[in-house]
Amino acid sequence: MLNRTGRSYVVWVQSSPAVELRPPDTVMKLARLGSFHQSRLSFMRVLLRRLVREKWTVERVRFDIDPPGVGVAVYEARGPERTYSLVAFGHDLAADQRSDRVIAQAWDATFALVDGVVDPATIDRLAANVPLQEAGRVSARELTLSRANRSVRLFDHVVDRLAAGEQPDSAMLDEVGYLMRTTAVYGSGKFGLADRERIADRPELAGPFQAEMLTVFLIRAFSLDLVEYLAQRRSPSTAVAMEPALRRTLGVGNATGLGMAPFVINHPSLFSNWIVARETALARVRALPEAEPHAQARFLELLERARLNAAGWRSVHELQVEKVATLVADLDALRAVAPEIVAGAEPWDRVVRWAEDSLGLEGQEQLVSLVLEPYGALVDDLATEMGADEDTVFDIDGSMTTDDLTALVTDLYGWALGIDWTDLDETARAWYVSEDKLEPRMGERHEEVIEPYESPLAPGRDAARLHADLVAWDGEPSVAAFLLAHPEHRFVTRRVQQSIAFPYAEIRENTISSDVLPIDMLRCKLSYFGATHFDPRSDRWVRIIMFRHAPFPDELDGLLEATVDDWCYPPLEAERTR
Amino acid sequence: MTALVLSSNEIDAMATKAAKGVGMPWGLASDAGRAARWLADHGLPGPEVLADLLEWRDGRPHAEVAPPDVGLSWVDHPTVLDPVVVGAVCADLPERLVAGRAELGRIRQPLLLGAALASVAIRTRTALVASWEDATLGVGAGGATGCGSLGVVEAAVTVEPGRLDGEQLAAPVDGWAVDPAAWARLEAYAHRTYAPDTESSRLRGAGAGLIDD
Repeated sequence: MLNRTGRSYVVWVQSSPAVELRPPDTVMKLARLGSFHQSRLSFMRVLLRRLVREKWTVERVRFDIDPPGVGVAVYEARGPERTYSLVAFGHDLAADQRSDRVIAQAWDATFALVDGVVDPATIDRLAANVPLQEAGRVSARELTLSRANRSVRLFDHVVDRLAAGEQPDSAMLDEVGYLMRTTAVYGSGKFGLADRERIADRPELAGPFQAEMLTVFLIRAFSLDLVEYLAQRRSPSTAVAMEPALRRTLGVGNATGLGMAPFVINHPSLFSNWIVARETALARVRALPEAEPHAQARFLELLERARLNAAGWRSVHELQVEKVATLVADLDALRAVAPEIVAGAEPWDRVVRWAEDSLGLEGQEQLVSLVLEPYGALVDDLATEMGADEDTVFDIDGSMTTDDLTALVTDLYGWALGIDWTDLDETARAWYVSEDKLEPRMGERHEEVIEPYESPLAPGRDAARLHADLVAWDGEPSVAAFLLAHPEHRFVTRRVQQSIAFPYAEIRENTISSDVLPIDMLRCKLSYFGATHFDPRSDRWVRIIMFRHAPFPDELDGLLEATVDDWCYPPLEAERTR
Repeated sequence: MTALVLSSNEIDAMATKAAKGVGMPWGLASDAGRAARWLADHGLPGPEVLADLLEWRDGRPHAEVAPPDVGLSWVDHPTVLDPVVVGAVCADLPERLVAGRAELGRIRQPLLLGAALASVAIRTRTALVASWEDATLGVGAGGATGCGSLGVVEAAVTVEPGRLDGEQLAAPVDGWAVDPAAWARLEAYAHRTYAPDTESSRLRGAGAGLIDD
């Protein structure tokens, strides 16, 4: 339960003192959001807990692929009530066509997640459309549409080795971390896919991005099946399968560009719910008066494994290399003090406070995720509150007085009112959509002709403009009358009013300044997905790894929900093989 | 050319961009997106009537198509009003709208009021009936009903609390099959919101190279 008292937000835990959530002015800063790590509430983990709890099975029901990888494969994921089918198409892609960009026209493999089982007619229909991606049409029977390219170097290496009867080089597996890299996973009605409203009442899809995460989980299985199959076809007499421990080190890559960054601005109530869930989980844990020995041990083990994760985190981006180095140093500092702190009173609150004084943002946010780990029973229920019915917050309260709206803007957007918007550096960037395959881009406002096409992704500037016109308004003092005269403020007024009920809806920083890093928004969103190993390739494009170290579908049987869930931290044994 | 079956999300997104393309600010354009989507979700030609509205709206300034005040009584207003703007005022002031009989004046494509009225009906728990010529559109918590010639280009519209009667309006099972010509018009308006693809934009705008390994 979240209540607003004055300017702070308080969480109540049964039989515990109230602990304040970290305030929006602290949390909703780009540098901090850009340091978030996956947690118990991440969507991949929510999915895998459910698959294990509900004893889902996955069966490869078709695999008609010919070298070099052309054909179709189908995987059926069967749950207690429904079955979903991943239909995978393999293609022969010329090397000069392999691009992470939205403007790519062809891929190594393309996929659709279908509601139910597929018949041959459905496969034919999909075969005529799915390989075209944005240029094709799918139907409300499909839930997602996606595509992936091979990591050429690793893919070929693995096929070569397996065909020769040898295991691939583990250092190379570590270096890349995946055989295939998705470049988009579309859902929510795009290109004719099922609208979210059609499926949101199904328990398994009620949480955010569950269909997308299931798609990626199955693509990972396909990518491993594909290399083993191609090795087998090349040299039936010598080929071997990959050892299970090595398989586990491979996830699915993902390349995410600018298109994902606007999501966290365009879905303010949803984004707020994500943040509130994690902050509430943190507050619940911080409110605990002491930690049982097994909770302490769990935390300390995962701290070690988180450090292993950080130490193995590869990036080519200067900023991220520096961030990883500080993360490793942070975790070393934490290791030195944590055992004593968590053995004492109010352990989690104290360790978090210690971190605020002693660690960088990477370390602080890694710690937030870590302190939740021993407490699934206390926090996992919050995952069910991370969706949002955005239609119910669409309406504007036009009966609010303009004075009240002015006060609200001053209260919630004070950070924006303090920016000098006449300074060209503060408005240096503009977000826009290119006519070229509708690729989202960001440009230099004062150097290119892009302002007429600007997307509404600068709430701070827009709130400041709203504030100026509110102050000057001398008409009927209602928001409805003001907006009738000033329709250009309707968009931001909707956001301002939503922020009353959704206090973490807004990134409290300038999103169009000369030093904005869109990768911070990407990192934040992808951390909620459950991604690891963020590797920015520029200020607006990041590669990540998904489901690394996770069990494969055929390994789910017999696992326990409580033990499967720590897959996202590399196992300690990895240290010995390193 | 056969009809194109669309998801609600596609209709909303395209309608929003098209409305922006003819000059509606983003906030009103979002209302236009919801208006078109709501109609399609109720088996009515949302993208089609919006395409007509936007053709009419193109080049007309806001002040010319907006009501003169927020009184919800514009029966004597001399010019034709934009249903997206009228709907926005209605949705902004739900209590005022359900307080009695509202004479909203002459409105272009009055069907596009549907989403705003439905939102008011749900929030105030008051069934509303909009009437023009021989048509009535009813909206309430239980859904929407319609009878008569709903699809007129322009009409004087009244809205008042009432009872729903007539045919229940329901979503097509497979999604809205849009008239391709109307969709193409929306696409053309939406295209105005896309930046031309310059060499500089292509190389710098996405912050990524063109070829990967």
